[in-house]
Amino acid sequence: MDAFIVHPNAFTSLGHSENLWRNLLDGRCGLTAANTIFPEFFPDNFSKIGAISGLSTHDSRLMQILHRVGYSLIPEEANNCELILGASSLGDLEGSFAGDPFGCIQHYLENNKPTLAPLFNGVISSACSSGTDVLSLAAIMVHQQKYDVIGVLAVDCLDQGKLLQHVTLGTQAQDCARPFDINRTGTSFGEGGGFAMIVNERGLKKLHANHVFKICGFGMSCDAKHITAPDETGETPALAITRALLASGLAPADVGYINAHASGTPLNDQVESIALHKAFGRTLGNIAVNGTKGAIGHLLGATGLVEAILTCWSLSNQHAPGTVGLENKDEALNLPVTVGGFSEKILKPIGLSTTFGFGGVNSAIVIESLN
Amino acid sequence: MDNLNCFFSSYSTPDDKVPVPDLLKGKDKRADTAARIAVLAASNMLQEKPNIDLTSLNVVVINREGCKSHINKVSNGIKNHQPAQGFFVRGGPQTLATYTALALDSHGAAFTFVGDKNILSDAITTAFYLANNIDNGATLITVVVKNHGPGYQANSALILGKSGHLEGVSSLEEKTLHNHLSQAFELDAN
Repeated sequence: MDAFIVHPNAFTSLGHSENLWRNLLDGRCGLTAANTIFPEFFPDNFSKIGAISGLSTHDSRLMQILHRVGYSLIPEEANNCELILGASSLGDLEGSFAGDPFGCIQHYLENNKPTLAPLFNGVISSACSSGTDVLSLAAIMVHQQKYDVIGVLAVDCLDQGKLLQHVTLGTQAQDCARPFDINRTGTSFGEGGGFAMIVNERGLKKLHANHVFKICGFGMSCDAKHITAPDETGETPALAITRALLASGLAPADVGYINAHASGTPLNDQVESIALHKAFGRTLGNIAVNGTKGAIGHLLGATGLVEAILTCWSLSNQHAPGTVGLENKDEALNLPVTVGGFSEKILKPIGLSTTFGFGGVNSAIVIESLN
Repeated sequence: MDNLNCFFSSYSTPDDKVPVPDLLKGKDKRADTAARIAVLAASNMLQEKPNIDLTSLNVVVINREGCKSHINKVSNGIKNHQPAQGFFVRGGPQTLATYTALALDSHGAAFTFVGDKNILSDAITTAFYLANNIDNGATLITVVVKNHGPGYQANSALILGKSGHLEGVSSLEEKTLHNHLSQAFELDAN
């Protein structure tokens, strides 16, 4: 595709920009016990979440995160954007922006980024795949030369009400996310955001960008089976991955790195492992695989963009950070996943990032580092 | 018109008492009203063009409000520290697309653009691309809005792709599609 990523940057509970990358490489964990973040709501809940520190529990949490993301991540070059596309899942569950991340982002931009506000047209909603899909859809638009420069902004928040739903659903881990671990019990939900500019060749020339990642292709699929649980056969998640490879014109052996969804729920990790084996076959053993939710949490509607950005950084640094939280590999999954505390060399400059969401949405994107 | 065929339909309800769509019978029926409308609009569209392969159909929905009734139930529960996880997992705007995929048993892309008429042109661009680049190539694109009364309006288009490229899409075809879908926004109460 004629689509490139420039200025990718992410904000998480483990920091942002270079600080975030260093912390990931060092194997640090940005998760905190829920009872220290929401002491009134969860006085006895010690399970860990990726909450941004210093946020008020009385004001819109998404708005507070937007302020941090906007200040830390959106570069001056964003004034070259012709369109701003958002991605989120539900945002706040209480207050005037409950279930309305579009309204929240619009309000933030109008009051803080007035030059970008008129360019903001919509928010992509595909649950926890939203952040991946906004990249893919922006890639379509620049590839079709409808725009030359698009800013993609993915944000989501974990308020106490949302954590309550996930604790009740059983998707929140008892202790912390342990992706692909034999003792995994669930994910660690978190919050944060990412920003990147998606450009075509003309956009690259406009921006004079020199640190560039190519979007080779993407794939999407829907299980169409269950509103919360994934397709246990792994067929439709594998379909998204094979569609991404096919669209990229690449063979499985061309891929050097996989940033897995790796939520840490017992079923998701099992299904993802089946899907990866179906899509990659024996070549999977030669690829560095990791997951980052044990370090920064599951950033809900922002997770896809943030993890695609971490994929970019991993490819350009030629190292996959260790999978924080993973101590005892689930050998039945037979995945070449990096263990916490040990980064692994990436041998080829092409990576895949996967996300899966409620409603059975599956997304995969293939990225190449041109640096 | 050489590369693509487009088919159009509209669906409306006089009020917000929306029945469970027949296509969800035997499946998860707990969709929010807006998601039910999206499914009913899809059902209506496919009655007009019944003989297409749905297995790789892409579902793209455009909607501004999301699942208000489900979210309100979740928000109200939180005030009393009561979870409402059943409504929560069915409260995202994506359910307008994923319930449609569930109803049709289709395995293409499924997502919702949250926005108003300003996003329509971009949504159409992506719908065309997906129709031509995923397997057998078809995209169902639907605009769902609350109308000026208590009911809903949904305008749909089924795009059948025939080649791997968009160069053959005529501006007339795109304009016709845009006009049909944008008519729903003219009835938008918001």
